[in-house]
Amino acid sequence: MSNQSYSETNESADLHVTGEAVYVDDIPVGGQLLTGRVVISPYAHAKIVSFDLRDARRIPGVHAVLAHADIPGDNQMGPVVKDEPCLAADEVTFCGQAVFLIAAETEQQCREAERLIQVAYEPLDAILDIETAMSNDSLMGSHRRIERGDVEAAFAASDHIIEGELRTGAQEHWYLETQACLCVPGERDEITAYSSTQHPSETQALIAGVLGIRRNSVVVEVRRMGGGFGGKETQANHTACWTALLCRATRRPVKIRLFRDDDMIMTGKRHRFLTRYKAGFTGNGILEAVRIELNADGGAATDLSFAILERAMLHADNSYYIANFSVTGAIWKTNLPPNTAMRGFGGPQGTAAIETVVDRVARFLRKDPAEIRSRNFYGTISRNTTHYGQTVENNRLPEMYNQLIRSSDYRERRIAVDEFNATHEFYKKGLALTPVKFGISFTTSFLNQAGALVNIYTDGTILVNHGGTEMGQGLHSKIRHIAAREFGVSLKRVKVSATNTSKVPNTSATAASTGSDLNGMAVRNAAATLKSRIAETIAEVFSEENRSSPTFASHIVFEDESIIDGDHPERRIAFADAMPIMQHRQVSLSATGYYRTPDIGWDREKGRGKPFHYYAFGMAVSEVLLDLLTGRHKLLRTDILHDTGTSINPAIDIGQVEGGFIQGVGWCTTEEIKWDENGRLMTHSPDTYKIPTVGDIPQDFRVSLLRTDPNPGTIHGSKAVGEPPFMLSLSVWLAIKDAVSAVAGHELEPEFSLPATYEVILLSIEKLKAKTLKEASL
Amino acid sequence: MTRVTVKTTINHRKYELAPDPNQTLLDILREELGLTGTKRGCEIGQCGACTVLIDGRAANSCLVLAPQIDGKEILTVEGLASDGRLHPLQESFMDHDAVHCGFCTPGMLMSAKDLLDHAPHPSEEEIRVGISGNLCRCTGYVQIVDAIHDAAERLGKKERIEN
Amino acid sequence: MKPFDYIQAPSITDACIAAAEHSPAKFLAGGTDLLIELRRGNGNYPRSVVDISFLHELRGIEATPDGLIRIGPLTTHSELSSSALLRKNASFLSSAASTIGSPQIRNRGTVGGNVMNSAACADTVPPLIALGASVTLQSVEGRRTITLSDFFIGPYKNIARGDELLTSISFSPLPSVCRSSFVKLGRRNALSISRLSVAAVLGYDRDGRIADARIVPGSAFPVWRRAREAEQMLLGEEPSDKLFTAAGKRVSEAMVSYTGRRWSTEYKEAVITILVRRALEMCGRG
Repeated sequence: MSNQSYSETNESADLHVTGEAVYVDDIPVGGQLLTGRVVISPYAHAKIVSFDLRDARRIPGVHAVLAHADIPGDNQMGPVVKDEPCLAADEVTFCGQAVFLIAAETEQQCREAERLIQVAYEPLDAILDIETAMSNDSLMGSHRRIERGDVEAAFAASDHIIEGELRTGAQEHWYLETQACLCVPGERDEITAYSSTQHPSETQALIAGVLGIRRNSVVVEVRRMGGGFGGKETQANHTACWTALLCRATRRPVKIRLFRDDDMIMTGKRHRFLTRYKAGFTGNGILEAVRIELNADGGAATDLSFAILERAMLHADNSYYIANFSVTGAIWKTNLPPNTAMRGFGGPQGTAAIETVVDRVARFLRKDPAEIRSRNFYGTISRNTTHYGQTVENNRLPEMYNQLIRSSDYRERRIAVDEFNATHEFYKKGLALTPVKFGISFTTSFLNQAGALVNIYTDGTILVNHGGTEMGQGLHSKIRHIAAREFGVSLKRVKVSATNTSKVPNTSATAASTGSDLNGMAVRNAAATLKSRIAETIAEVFSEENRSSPTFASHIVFEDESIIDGDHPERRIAFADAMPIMQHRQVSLSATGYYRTPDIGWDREKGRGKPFHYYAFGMAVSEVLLDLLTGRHKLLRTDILHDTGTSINPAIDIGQVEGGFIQGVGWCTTEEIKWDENGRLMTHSPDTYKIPTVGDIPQDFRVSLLRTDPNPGTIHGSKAVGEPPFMLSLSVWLAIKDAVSAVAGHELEPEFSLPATYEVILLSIEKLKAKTLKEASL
Repeated sequence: MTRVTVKTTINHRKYELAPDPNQTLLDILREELGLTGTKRGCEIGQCGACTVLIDGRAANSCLVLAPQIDGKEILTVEGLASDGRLHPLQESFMDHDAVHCGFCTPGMLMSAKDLLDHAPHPSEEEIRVGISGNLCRCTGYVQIVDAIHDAAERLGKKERIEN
Repeated sequence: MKPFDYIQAPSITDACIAAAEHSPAKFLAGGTDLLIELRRGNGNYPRSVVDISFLHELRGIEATPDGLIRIGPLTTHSELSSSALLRKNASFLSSAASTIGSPQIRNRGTVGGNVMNSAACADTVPPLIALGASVTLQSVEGRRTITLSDFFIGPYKNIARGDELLTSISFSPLPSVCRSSFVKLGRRNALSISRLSVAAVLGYDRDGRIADARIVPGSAFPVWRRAREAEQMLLGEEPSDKLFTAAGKRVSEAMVSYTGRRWSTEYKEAVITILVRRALEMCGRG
């Protein structure tokens, strides 16, 4: 084993800090490589009347210019519903839709060819927002509903009623590495795709589909992604399919790496939602009845919209027990890029709705919002079933609330904030606590499966292949920890391979925060198979040496880099020394592992069941300082307490909590997506679309993991961590609202939407001031 | 368009290059020299993924035309380690888990190097300003700021020992 | 990037000749704006790029014998922000330069490029206008000096011809009784492009009354200009919250009357009032 320095936490960190880590765009390719380019629709909705590619094809250096008719297989790349052509045929349905493909020796030749493509479009009416879609009945699929109790009767019996509307905005993934794929042709119809994809198996299937070949001719490999965040769950397939088509047409290696602006223009975003709500509650602030209507902007094709809407509906309760609860949902079809998965996957939108309700209830009753939240938390013994019938087991909410209220000095700071606000005219502070309860599992239950292939080599090194992909979340590092722990060896002995569809087939996407849960278990199962083979063989060896008291295979333990007889600890062999024995005794050192999540099931039609294996919990307190005259705010402090079960790797988990939270802060504050009246993206570049910089993080940021019991039934007692912390950013959004609300002494409900840009905030303040004046004059 | 001759030093090695004038420094590093540690992020100088040092100061290599590096000294992430030993920044980035997806890491390291070369004992605020031109979408920046603090301390200790 | 001829100019004269002979030409200084423009390839693509970045005579900040401050157009934003001479004589120009983009942009971007690119959000321009700065343009036909307030004619538009090279920016130092300030508001806390900014100067007489007032908002008017209406209100007055707010309102009204109402107006008119007031407050009360 080499002595090169490596990080305990990130298995590739040594490569990253030296610049040696290889992403798709860094793979060295010989002189045959061609550059691919996608020619996109300039119209949100138009008929393609005619086109002429002849001039473009004549440019020297151009090897292929393709249109839909040049696709040898299916012109289709919809992941679930087949409603998304790979290249537009007769009609374009959004700005940025792929229409033609070009492969040339240089980028410049591609652009020159693009300039010479002649297309006649006949523009058609376009639907560019949810309201227009609603009034045109432009519905995708059907309305969805999950209900419990009798909401109408409970409204009638409630002490108080509030109703309102909430808009939450779209969000661009802004992975640092844009969509990229390199395809290399092989023998016959074989093709290898090096893709920056979260879902290699689906990428493989869709490439086979567009090429009209079998899946056993397509290999997809993913070493790593420069960020995914859901944006490469389905939409990496697009770039991969386009690259594969050009590779097939030219029989040469082809690479497409989208330019940042093109990536932002062409790909879908987090769904924007228009939510309507009504809530009935008691004088104590207990929610008696809530109705939430979720309307999502699906864009021009289905993508994963149904699953995303479903997760929004399943998280419209967030952490609160609501006896009478009706959640309805609809996806509206618009002429915008198909919206897609993004961290939280509908969860943030559903959670934002109910958090708005609870916040309003508190303001209505002039009570502290944290107090009202805690009164409505799911119980530990009663009031602990969700609106879809799943029991909230191992509920950590009350315990976390008590801890965080104390550790964040919430009560003292609430008083300090009120005092500050009483004495400051142009600045106000705001404070908010928000919880999260996030269901872990794909809600499409069959997807909760994973595979692994573990090889041990005769020098005692271990290579782990599994179906999950590495996008910066630390999955491979966790898998490496899991494997090392299972075999009782040091981390140095274990390497995790690139994800490859020829090693582990038919996998699910690395998504829904389930990467470690599913793949970790599959790896453990593969390890278990190998360990039992090794134990049997080594028990034989030990027994041959000690005929009077044989070693039982079942008593063999793997620890300390050794294989040991638990009954006779003096009988031990170094792990590395044991492996050649295995080979001599003709025992296989390669095994697959497979895992499926047990005991879950979800009846989509009835809206009942147990969709989630378990829940992850978290809670945050944020404090902001707001400049009332400009709408500018500063995030003064955030305290987060998060539940990761028994963390496999606390450093990775804390990094996920911080990173997820800050990404959420972007969604809640500065990240604003705007389209013009023709459906063209206006915020298509980092100079107009603002993700958080280091200057936007809390001045004082305190993150801790809940000390708790191991999570039952998961890999090494851990919990998923990728998505849940994202929702904690709502504490910042509501702290800003709290500060705005202070302008009118918390007597009036501010108008508010998400993201709360400086502009939204200032206009909200102005309206509040106008209202206050009006009331004062009455 | 005629090629131009450029004499430059990259990672302590002298080069005589003949780039097309419409190539950027980033193009030269990645496509001609195979120094792919410097990343293409946005190509308009807004994300910092392509940050290198030019004569010791951080610059977005996507906004520098190749002929402009004539006579200049360029340092990229590949040149940060010396004599087979990692720079303290590289070590501290590893130790603080400041690397997630890694795509921003090379640029972040180069900005941090400029910062520590010119302000060996930076305050929290100075660190924040120093990396304000580098976007990271994974970490939330906390571990990166911690790593830079720690590297400054390590460098300080090293200096004290050497003196 | 599409192809272009690249000419490295060994002297100012050579640069001017190259630009005239290879027109349409663009001068390359720090490259932080030009390379974005070239890569996006919109509009009038140049036939040639004349690289002036090696011309050391176009660098530096100095006090001239005739009492002016002269800034070489290749002076970077980092150099502006750390210049002791500027901190003493026109501190708001230093402050403005220190808020531009990011360290990487400030290390490369130049004040000359900022002026010549003439983007509405160019942060060094409001202080320069408030200073009454002049620019000297040189071409094969000769040299001319123009005050900056006559230089700009619209967003990304100025009166310089394509073959004219900016060779110097100069202005009188602020009188020692004057204080200056620069405030700006972006969309987030770093790497931000100005949505609105204000450069202000206030000077007081012995009685504590305002004797010198200069206000130049950025990104507010189609063409930069001093907000004379508001400045007039201040002269001869004693400073007060009320006065500063009134001046802010006056700037806001002027902005709306020049630009008309657009989607962002409601926000901008409220904010510019405040930025003007804060900029004036930062100049102090005499």
